[in-house]
Amino acid sequence: MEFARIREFESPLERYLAEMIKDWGEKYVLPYRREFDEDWKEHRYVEPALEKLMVGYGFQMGVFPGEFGGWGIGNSDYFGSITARLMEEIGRYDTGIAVSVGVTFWPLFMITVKPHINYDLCAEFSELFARKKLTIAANAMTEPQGGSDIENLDELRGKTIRTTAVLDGDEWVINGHKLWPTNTGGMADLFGVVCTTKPGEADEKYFAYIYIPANLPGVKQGEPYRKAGMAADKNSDIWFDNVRVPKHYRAWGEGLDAKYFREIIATGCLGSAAMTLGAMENIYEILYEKCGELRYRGKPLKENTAVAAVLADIAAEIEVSRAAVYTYARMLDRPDIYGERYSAEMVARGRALKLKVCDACCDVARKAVDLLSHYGIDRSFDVEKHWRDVKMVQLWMGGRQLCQMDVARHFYDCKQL
Amino acid sequence: MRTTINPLAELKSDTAEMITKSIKEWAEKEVMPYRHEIDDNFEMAERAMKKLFVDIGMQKLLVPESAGGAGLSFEELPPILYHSFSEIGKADAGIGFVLSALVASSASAIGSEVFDFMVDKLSSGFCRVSIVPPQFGNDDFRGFELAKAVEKGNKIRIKFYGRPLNSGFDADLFVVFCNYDGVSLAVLDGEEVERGEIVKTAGLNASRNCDVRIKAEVEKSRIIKGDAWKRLEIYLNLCLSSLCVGSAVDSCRIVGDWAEKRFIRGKPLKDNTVDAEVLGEVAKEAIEASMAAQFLAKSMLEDRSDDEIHTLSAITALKCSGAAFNVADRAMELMASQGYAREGLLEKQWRDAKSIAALLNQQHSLLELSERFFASKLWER
Repeated sequence: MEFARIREFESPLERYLAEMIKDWGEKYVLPYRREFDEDWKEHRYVEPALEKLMVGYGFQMGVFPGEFGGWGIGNSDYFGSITARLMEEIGRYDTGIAVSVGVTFWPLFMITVKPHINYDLCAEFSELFARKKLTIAANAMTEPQGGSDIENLDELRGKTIRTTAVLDGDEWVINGHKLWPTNTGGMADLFGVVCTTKPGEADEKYFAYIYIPANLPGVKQGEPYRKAGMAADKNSDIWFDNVRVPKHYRAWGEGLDAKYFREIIATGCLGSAAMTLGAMENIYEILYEKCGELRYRGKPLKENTAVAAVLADIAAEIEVSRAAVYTYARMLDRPDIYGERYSAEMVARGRALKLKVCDACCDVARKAVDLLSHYGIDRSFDVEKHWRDVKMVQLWMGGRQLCQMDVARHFYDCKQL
Repeated sequence: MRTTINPLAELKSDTAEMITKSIKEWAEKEVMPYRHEIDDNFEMAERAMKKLFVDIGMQKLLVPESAGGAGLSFEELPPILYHSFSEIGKADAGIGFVLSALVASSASAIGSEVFDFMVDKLSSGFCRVSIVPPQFGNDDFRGFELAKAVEKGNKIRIKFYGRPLNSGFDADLFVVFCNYDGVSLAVLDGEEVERGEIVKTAGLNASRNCDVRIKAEVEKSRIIKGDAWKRLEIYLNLCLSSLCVGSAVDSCRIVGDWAEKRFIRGKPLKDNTVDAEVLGEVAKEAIEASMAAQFLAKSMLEDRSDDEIHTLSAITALKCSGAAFNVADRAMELMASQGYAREGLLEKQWRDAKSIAALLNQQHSLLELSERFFASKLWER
């Protein structure tokens, strides 16, 4: 069965990439997926699968412009659609790997997406990612003291950021402590770091987005955290202790960093919604099989009207979620029609999408676990893995509450939230 | 912070107070210091279980005093179960889940010939009892399949393949729902059961489960006929409901602590209205669950029919397991990554509560309620 996909929205590259991911997922993820939970620290199963996708299939260079050897996703007219499709297809196999891939692209979006392509930094960082070895980036935002306050730009305008960037000649000197970024715990080769050039000031011109290679003196990644799920996504503390980087490692400069950071909030919302859509589709596939096999009241589970009603609700959520994800993706494809991706309107629409689709996915996963009862909580049926994993997607980027505030602020013109 | 209510007067007893105090001490000493690693280290859970089951004597609540047990009567049992399981639920729902099956099975056997057999087992050291409920499969019991029981001379041959509710891998006794004389319970020694490999599950890790194959011939005295299966479900539902109350209260405590310490938008989380609303909801869920479980325990002391109590117990278990999950799930929203991390301790309550809710088979329970309250003819052939 296929859920709604508007074919005229689909780019040729997107369809081709989806086929590649399917080939990869069937060969390199599904046979090992049940080992991922125990592999949260070592990544003996996760990393080879990730490396195969990023290096073997070449996705690692995907966002860089063609002149730097990339696929030019960032300067494609289908930037949003392709991003959504990648996250959807990878999320079908494992949302942890999806976020690892997505977050490698995420900091690079600041400098690789048209019209704001920073050619100098693309030239420099594309060499790092062109290596025939797994190369990972991380977006270091969250800090111990304020959680999602960092992402709450419209209200706080960077006031609570404590990671500092001080210009010393031609170098930025970075000091600070970040928590929880995806792809940390020793994985990251490059960080995009949210800093302030004037602590305590609520002014976006002091918001700085600075790239820090992970191998520099003063950078320390902690041990990965143990979590309820999402084993393929490693998270840890990171400390920056007098780390020095060249001045031009700041993505854009005063005012622009905050502006384009909003754009990566929008794409982060899209990616989160798309990967949970993929997880829902895999849950559907598992239910399709198991609810035909298991029998209740003398017939297959799915032939009982009470069960069929729940299955229908699940299918309806997926159908509508896919439509919503690709509608928003197309809006991001066309800033000429729908406005800049960093606009308050587009960020609010992204927040609304993430809020709704992540809620739908958590609900779908919860219902699927309940339907299968004993088998629902059994890790060999993968439904419970999705149930644990997707909860994290709902929680990150400020969780439901920050989404709600951004949505309310825009759609109800709230001034005091 | 106050996310509990004082228990109903009818549920207060000196014995309950004494047992609860022992369980609190047990939790502080045997569980809380190791709680974040207990899911990865079964030996820790097993050591804690032994202390609770044997040293504190929870596995012998119903064992006669002459055999070294507490010899509690049905009149004393419900309040004690409410208080003790609520306390255990604050510490480790998985351990409580294993104990629930033992207590419910013991209660179902009182007054039957097989009770002495169970008493011997319960009195001779650490014991786990696995319940083997009806399974997905053929339609021979309300849409489910029972273990097959066939008379063979003076014995009954029991045949089954499937998954127990709990502890299939470790159990010393199995209490099997079978199709003898309607629905009966067959009590089997662990040695009469062939076990598969441990099944990895979302939570309740103190209960190591597996698929089991049974081909056993047992004396007729090992069969408990009549409404014993209903009594088993009533006590199981009471224990699980109370366990979920404890889980919900603990999740409230965890998120309450977080909401005090965590500053967002320049003030404690609890002082932001959007977050305070969530806190209000989790408190409401926890207190509702506590009220429902207490009402069940109190009702079990009154002169009501088994059928009525059976139905009430199913409703209560659905309510309390749903509440325990909702509390943990919404609390996790506020705690975000910290709630999702093992060290935050909330995620264990979240996984355990969800596992209990799933095992209660909500869809089926709702159909049973429809049959009772609206005379739906769902199982008429």
